[in-house]
Amino acid sequence: MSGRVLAAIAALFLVLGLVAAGTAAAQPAGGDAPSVTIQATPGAGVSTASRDIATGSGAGMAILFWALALGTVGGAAFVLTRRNLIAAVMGMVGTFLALAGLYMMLYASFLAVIQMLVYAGAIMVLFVFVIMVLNRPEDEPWGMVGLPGKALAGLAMLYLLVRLVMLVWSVNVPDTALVAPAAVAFPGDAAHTVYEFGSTAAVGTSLFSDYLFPFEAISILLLIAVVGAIAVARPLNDADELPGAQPPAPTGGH
Amino acid sequence: MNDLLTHIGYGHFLVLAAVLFVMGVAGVLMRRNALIIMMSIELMLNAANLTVLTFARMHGDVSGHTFALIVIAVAAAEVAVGLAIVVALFRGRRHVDVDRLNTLKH
Amino acid sequence: MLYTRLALQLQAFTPAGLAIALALGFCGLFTLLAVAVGPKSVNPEKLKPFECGSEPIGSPRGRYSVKFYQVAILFLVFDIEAAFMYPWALLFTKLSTTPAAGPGLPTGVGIFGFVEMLLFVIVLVVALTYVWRKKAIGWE
Repeated sequence: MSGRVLAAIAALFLVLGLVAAGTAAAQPAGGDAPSVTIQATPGAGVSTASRDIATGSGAGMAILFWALALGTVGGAAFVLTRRNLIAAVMGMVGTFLALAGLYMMLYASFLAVIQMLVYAGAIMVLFVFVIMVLNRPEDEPWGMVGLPGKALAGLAMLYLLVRLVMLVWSVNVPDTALVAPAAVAFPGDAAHTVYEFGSTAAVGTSLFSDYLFPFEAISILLLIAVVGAIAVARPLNDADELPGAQPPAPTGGH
Repeated sequence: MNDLLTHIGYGHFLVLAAVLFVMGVAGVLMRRNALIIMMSIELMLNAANLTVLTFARMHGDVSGHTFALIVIAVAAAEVAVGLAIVVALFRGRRHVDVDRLNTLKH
Repeated sequence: MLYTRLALQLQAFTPAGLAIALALGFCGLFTLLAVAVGPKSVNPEKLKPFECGSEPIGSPRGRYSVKFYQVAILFLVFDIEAAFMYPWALLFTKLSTTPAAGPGLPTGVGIFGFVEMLLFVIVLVVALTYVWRKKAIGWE
């Protein structure tokens, strides 16, 4: 128990130090509360209200938000508590779908679809495949055994949460946030076509002009990931398959 | 209090992201199964993505969406290699319990 | 009053909500109807896992080959590639248009958009070639 508790405490203090450093660095001279001042476009004033309306006001949006937040946190809680790995993956899928809904509320429609396609569609499939390859019930799921360890870990997480919430809740919202997000035009486009904020074309406009290098670097990263994954996961020779593994596609007669 | 419940602002999204992140940290620290730990890392990456998208909306700047897209691609690469390592670990040791992976410690 | 406001705010989601409600409603309705009015006869043969009439081979909880994982990795990578291709496809006309030399002059045709995606795809074809040569997608 002691080793993991110590590791938890060390990590906690590392995070706390980072948060404190970030808070101190972002604190304006003379400010009494820790706050991060976000500079809006030059000339626009910075309001001090921290709870301005992001996505439209009223009960409809509120119900939508709380339902999606419940789905997100509930799925994550499922991941943390389930011993059955497939159940954990299903909780994860729920989290990702609810997050896609939240992205929609933030006008990030392209990212919401990509979240569903890539996370819920591909990454979770990969997890399920690995669980099928391993297929071993978990014996002792928790690293922190005993009541003191769990209580300590819980307190540490609670403290981290309180500090993070204090940090993000003090973010000042620029006035520009209150208007609908601006449409995006492609640079150098003679026709001045504008694309809706968060649409596929708007994201592409940013990706293929300002972030061309990261885009090309992603292809290298994916190449390295494929080579690394295949090289690491391959059996060293054909006989070195996992014991008890079923051969792929035994009959194909269905 | 009523205002907090019905007026959804950026703070709500940021706090939700913080909650999600802390749950990811808790999973990495407290669970022993390597697969659950990788899922918790995904939770943390998603919390970061939610924060980035909230700030993108706040500033009306679509660059944040590009960041999130790139984070998703990096997460996919990380999952591919990480799960390959888990498979290789299982092949040699018949378990994926990170507490028992202490050969280099002794 | 509150409900009117709620209805107004949710108006944008009406088509999606209607589709979801219809789908859930039909599924639930017919499942319930089948349970309620359908004749029931239970025998052990019916409770077996359905495998198209074949005898089940092995346990569903058995372990699977790593080959499945290798194929899943390829699926993931090319899924990401497709995700980056959607905005490119939408913007292809813009990316292949060079600005006009002056007002009133026609715009030119550039290869910028073509070349940047070509680079991206070539690197991923290298990955595919590696996988192919390592026989990770061979399925003998």
